[in-house]
Amino acid sequence: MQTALTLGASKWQVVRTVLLPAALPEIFDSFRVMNAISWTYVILAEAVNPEHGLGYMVELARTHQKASWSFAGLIVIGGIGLITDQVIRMASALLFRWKEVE
Amino acid sequence: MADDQPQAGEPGTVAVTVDSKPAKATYVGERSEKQPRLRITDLGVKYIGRDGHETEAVREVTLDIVDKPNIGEIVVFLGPSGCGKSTILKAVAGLLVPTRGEVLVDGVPVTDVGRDRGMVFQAYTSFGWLTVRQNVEYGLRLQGIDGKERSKRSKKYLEAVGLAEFADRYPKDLSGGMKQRVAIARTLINKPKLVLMDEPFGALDPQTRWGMQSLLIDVSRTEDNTTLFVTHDVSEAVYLADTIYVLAPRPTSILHRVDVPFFENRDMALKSSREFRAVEQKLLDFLYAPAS
Repeated sequence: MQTALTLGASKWQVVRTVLLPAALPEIFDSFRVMNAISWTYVILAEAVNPEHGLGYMVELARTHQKASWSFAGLIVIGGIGLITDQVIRMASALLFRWKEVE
Repeated sequence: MADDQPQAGEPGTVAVTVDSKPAKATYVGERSEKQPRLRITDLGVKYIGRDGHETEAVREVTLDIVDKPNIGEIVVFLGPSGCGKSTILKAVAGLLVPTRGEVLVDGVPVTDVGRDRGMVFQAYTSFGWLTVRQNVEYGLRLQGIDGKERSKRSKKYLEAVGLAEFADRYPKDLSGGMKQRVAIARTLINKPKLVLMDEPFGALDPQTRWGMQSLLIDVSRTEDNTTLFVTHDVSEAVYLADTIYVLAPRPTSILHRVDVPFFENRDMALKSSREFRAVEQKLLDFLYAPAS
């Protein structure tokens, strides 16, 4: 930051050209964590969903003792969760190629 | 052979003029008649720590540095680690406001950071999200200079610091020495009047360090600027400097001024010459004898 200032950056330019790009990877990481957390809420919401959707199907299959249907539903839900997580991960790897790998 | 004539290319015959005064402070704040590039008058910096204690980092620093035309000369601040050497640089850069005194650059008081005073820090400060070229061009981009002109200028500086092949790499692929070369190129491209270097080679291994020292001299000689270089390494100081200010530890004040006269001749052999060693010894005496 001090470097940017001595190179002639104004306060606003420091925010735009240094603080923001430096913080973006972490913002993206948090985004990924939040995606995982939000997914559990989606499942919860699905489970109490009375009309349609995957959660409803799982619930219905459970009450009718159709384990195969139940599991199929669970796998699909899990799969979508994994896919969105991977998509975010790949996007982040692509966007932040400059980052040091820890 | 005349004793007072520095002989290019022959380190053994280079004359060194260090006055052999006792190791107490010999420096008196000198004033030049010409308008100096940098004039510091009675600079004092005090910090108030978190525990409420007041620490005096810099006391009564007064100096004039006159720019030699068409050549980037190097002025070294030499002092023990942990003393307020960097504080003086920060005051010149405008990164901190001194408690008392004044800093003038070409007669204009320093009130804020500015492009005319570029700074290179000890810590690697490359912008990780920018390629080497973009890092070097950073200052030009802030000024809104168009891409064509930018790449023309950055090419020159990337070549000067030997990073042309790495222009499109990211800093994570670079070694410490290379990162510092990026920082030097990025600072010089802005054409600052003053280049402030705060132990820039402190974290490098000795071999890299020597290379960087020659590189800095070569690059500086082609620029019309003045470099203020802070270090605690005596050998580095003698090798780089045209003028050395020996500083006392906290509160930092100037004890001695030593002019190093072998100007044209800075090859590596110089470091093992008798004259070089003599200046080193002089400085060591200055540093480790208590000032009375």
